[in-house]
Amino acid sequence: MQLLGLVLILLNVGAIATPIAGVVLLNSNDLSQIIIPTEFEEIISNTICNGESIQLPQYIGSSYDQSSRTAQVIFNFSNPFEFDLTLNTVSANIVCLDHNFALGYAALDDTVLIKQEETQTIIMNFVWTISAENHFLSQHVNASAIDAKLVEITLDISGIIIEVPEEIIISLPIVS
Amino acid sequence: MDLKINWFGFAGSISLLALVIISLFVPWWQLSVGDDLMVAKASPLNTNFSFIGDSLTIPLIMALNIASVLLLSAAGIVMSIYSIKPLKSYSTKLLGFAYKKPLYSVVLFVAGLVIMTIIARSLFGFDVPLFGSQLSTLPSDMTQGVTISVFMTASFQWPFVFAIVGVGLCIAAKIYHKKIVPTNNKHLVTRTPRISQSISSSVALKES
Repeated sequence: MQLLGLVLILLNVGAIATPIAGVVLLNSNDLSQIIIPTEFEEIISNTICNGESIQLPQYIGSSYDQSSRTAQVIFNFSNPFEFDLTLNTVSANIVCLDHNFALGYAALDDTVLIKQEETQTIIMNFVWTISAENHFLSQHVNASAIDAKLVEITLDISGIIIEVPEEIIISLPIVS
Repeated sequence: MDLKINWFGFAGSISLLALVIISLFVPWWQLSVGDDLMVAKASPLNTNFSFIGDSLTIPLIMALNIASVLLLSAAGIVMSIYSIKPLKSYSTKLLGFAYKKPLYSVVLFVAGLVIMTIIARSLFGFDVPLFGSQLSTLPSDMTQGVTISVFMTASFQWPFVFAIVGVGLCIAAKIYHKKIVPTNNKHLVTRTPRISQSISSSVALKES
């Protein structure tokens, strides 16, 4: 009976101590590896901390469709990381630069996959409101394009939602 | 001939051995960050992390997982031996060894998860959900003015429920043991005095 008790105690102690001792022996030259292995540091340095960071989409140009009162704003978006990103949404409010008048809302139509270290063209659609059209007619009568800014820009990149405080200035073609 | 079987113990032992095998493939708890940018699959028997598709193993956690595999496997085998011969003199010791192991596993696992969420909140300032979905915002001092939120989804998987069933069966085996062991056996059970006690009592006798 006492032998059985001893065997069970040894089983308890041995089952816990042996694997831990094994791991300690394997990493005896650097014990911090037990908690933070080298591969973890490599992944972090190669992916997140590779000296690069996500840049705001770079404005390329815009076009418009008079009949549907929509404009397409074209950007370049670069993925500086060593892994693919999925751009789920990009959305922003569009405001007239001169009069600070809210013109509407622009958003990405569909998700865009941006491969590692590549730049992809993304197109945001902007449907302007009736009040925006009235604003164009009253304040920008003879203009073919107005300067506007994208504010409250929100990006959903692979499930990480980034709200950017910066504004992007764009030139927006309008119906005059 | 003794034909009594502790069926709760027998079912418990089967569930423990099944749990060991299942847990090597299916986690008890899973956390997903973003669109599977980071995935943590955890159980006391097998834990792994993947970061943007790259798999990560933390040696200390791996050692603890191996310890759990050994202990739960031993508990399952010992419980099965006990349950077939619950009236033997050594059975109580076997039961005492085996029935607590799954309970400790479940309790320590949940405690570990709770501690992990507390550490994440206090050290990094964001909430990690234990279950359900949550949009956690990183502290602004970490993000240089940009607001960064991460969608996290956590859930307990069915092996966790299976583990709780195993715990229930093992505790039921312990309770049932008291019923199937004849009460007159209690009178037969004698405690072997500790060596120190024996020596001191013999010395006392000599002195008297």
